Amino acid sequence: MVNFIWLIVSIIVAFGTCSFIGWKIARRNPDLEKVIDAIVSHYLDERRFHVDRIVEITGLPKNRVERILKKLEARGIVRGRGKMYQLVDPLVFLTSTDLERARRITKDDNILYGAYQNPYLPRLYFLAMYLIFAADIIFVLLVFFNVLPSLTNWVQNILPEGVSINAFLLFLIGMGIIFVDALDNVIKAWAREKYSVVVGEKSGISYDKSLADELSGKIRRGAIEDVDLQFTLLQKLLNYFIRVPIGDVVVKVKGQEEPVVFKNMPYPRELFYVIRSIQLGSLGWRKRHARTLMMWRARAMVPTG
Amino acid sequence: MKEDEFPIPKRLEDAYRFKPATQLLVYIVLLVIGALILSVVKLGWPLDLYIVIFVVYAALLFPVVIKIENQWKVSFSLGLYGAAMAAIIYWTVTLLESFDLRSVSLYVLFLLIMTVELFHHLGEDIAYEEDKKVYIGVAILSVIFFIFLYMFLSAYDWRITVFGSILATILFAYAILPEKPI
Repeated sequence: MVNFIWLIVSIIVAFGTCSFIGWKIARRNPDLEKVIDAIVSHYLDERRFHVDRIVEITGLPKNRVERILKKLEARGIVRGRGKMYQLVDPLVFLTSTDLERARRITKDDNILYGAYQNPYLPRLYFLAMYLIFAADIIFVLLVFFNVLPSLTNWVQNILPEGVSINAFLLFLIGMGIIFVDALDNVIKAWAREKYSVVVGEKSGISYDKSLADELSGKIRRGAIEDVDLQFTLLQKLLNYFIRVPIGDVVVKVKGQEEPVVFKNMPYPRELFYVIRSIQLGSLGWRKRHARTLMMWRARAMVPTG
Repeated sequence: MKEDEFPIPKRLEDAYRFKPATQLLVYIVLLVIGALILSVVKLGWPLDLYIVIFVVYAALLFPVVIKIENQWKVSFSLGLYGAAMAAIIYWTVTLLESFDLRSVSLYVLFLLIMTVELFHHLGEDIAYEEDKKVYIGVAILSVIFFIFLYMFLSAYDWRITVFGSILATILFAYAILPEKPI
């Protein structure tokens, strides 16, 4: 009974303490909003700006502005070099290396969207890596409940003398989690090499066609005949639960019979809007929603209506 | 449709998700189903173990179902992290059957992995931030991981001890590095 009370008390205390910390971390930051407003109002065209200029516009202390800019840089919203910064489009989710590559290949175009295709959905067999974890758990359960005494004895024999078998089983569960997480990172890194799609204001759509590719797939903005957004039932269902929503964007190209399909793209509606914008040759939509997009990317607390 | 008319919500994800009330409803329904299954399954376990399982289940489920982005969500999410970690630590301590140094090092390794991975799951907004502090944190955790793994593996041949500890630590560090959500 004493143990039970200890458990309940520790759960309540830990919940309260961590909730309080979470509340403090996620509170609104008016200074951050001021800095973002200053950048959006003056440097939306991605011109470079000096820290002092933001200090001048916002009236905030220099060290405060510098800290906020560092934070925005860590979140991939601005790029910094010394005291100079530059806005990165909020819909660009590329790594800094890939963003540099995209800028180089598009001849320093204004990159409006850049992301990687979800690696798992077109290749469901990647999910088989979770079977490794499942096998790990089954092994642990078989040994823990002594379902196969010979297996339990074998585990006991390979452990050094005095080592608890339960401790070893817990360690196996932990290593299973670590192994799957590391493998997930490898698959995502591989996807970054193979499936990037970049939309530039003037260059149109550039995309990778293979692992060793350097954005050789090209659709000039004048060649875009039509663009369509499609969701499969699986994508619709998954979008309720996965971190980054996905969908297919179909681009019909003038003079080509078969459309180019970008499958499982992150934020497909926004990609659709961006492609439509460059097709129409106007960035009014992008400019009007600049603050919303940037605040969203900064994950600052935008007051919800 | 004119380009000017393209609508955009304040949070881009909102266009793809359930409404907040529906998310809460789904979460509560899944919690009730979980509690029901636990109450039906009779494995002869003590009540506190059922509580530990339920708290961890609630914590794992929360970020999968609840996609609202506000201060309350972050606060509740980290609260659940604390509750789940308290439950896991309690359960691990009750499992302690040997105070042998190598056994203790395995318990520590398990708790270290759970602390980091559960934080990855529940504190994703903070975990994804790529800054110097996060990398220093990863380095410190990796050193701790290496020391305790070395302690456990030191009972074996020196090659297993040295190379096993190094390889597993590299795997650990790579797994817990902040990763881009896309």
